[in-house]
Amino acid sequence: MTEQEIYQRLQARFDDSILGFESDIPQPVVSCTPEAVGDIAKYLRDDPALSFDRLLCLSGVDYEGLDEKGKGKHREINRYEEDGTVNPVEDPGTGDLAVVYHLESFKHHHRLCLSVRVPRETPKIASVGHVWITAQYGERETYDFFGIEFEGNPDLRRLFLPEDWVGWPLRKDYEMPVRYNDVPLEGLGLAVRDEQ
Amino acid sequence: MSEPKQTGPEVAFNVVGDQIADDREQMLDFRIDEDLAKVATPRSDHVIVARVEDLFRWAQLSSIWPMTFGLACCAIEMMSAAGTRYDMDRFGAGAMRGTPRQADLMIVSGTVTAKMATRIKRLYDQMPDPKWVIAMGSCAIGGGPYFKYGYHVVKGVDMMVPVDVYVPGCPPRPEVLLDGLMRLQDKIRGKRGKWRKPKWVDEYINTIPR
Ligand code: SF4
Repeated sequence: MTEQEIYQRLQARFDDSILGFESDIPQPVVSCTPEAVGDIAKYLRDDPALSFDRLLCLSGVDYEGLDEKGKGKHREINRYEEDGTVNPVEDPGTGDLAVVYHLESFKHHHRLCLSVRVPRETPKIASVGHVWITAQYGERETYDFFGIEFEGNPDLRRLFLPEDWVGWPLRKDYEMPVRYNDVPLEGLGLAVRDEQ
Repeated sequence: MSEPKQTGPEVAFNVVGDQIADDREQMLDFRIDEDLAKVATPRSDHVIVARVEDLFRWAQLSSIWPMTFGLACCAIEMMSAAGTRYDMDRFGAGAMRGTPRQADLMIVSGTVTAKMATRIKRLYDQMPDPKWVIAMGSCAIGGGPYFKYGYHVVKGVDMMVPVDVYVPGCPPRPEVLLDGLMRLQDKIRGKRGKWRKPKWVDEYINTIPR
């Protein structure tokens, strides 16, 4: 089944929840509303004609500074300066966040990319952990780096970063930390060594 | 102590006596330490006089035990250096220990993340004295490729533990690590390293825009 046909099938079934279809890119994308993700995922897996039995990848995107198509100019982001200090960019983000699911069917050998945008202020989305078990870790990772909350995930904790870490590092308005507990994170050492 | 006299390879024979087999002699051969004469003075065929400190240092530098400890991509080069092709054991540093309690040397090979930095500190504290640290690769030296946007990377392991030898590269080839090891041996021996900074290094550094 081609992506176009999958899109039409989904639209016939879910109607308003399916927001759009982008086909002029190498991997066509179907987008939908965050509330409907759980139902759509279940349908995608269980419908015999679709049977997407594998979640290849679950990832987060920050659309801050980008337009609807994901294009736009480079946004100035926070960083450490050459002398080791933190350079803050006083520009809190307003763009949406998104979760992208890449799906594959072993049975029919077709693929689908499902994209779901969530507002930056309330990044909440239904979990698909009960549909594909692998999603539980992908969701934890996305929560770890983007702060997107997956409602229904049984164990939504940070995955890679320490549990007491502050902030969501892969958001473009992330504030660079100066210290983490007793560990200095700015490039102070280099500055000191240069002076000597 | 009298003026050390110039001695040749036969000194090793004097030290270990003639009952010990040839390969054992090779291991204790002072030739790896350039010259026994600088450490000790042979008085007769079977007696040498040396300062205990010098002999201990010689023993320490000839049997550095590194801790089995790799953090990132650089660790692959460290494994390679310990493998058969480069064979770090030739310099007495091949006995990788699985516990900090038995190790002298910590080779920090890779990216020091904020999460790992506290563990590195603890492992260093657990190592018995005397102990040394080699910072291997740009990451351990100063953050490396993660300097500008690496929110999670400590910009140099010397912010957590004192470092004896810096081994630059991304990753450093095993030869460079071996060279760093030999510079560490020089340091334990109480000598300056053989490597001097060529003049062009400073000139080059000045051309880098800030
Ligand atoms: S210095 Fe380079 S090779 Fe070594 S850990 Fe860092 S990125 Fe990897």
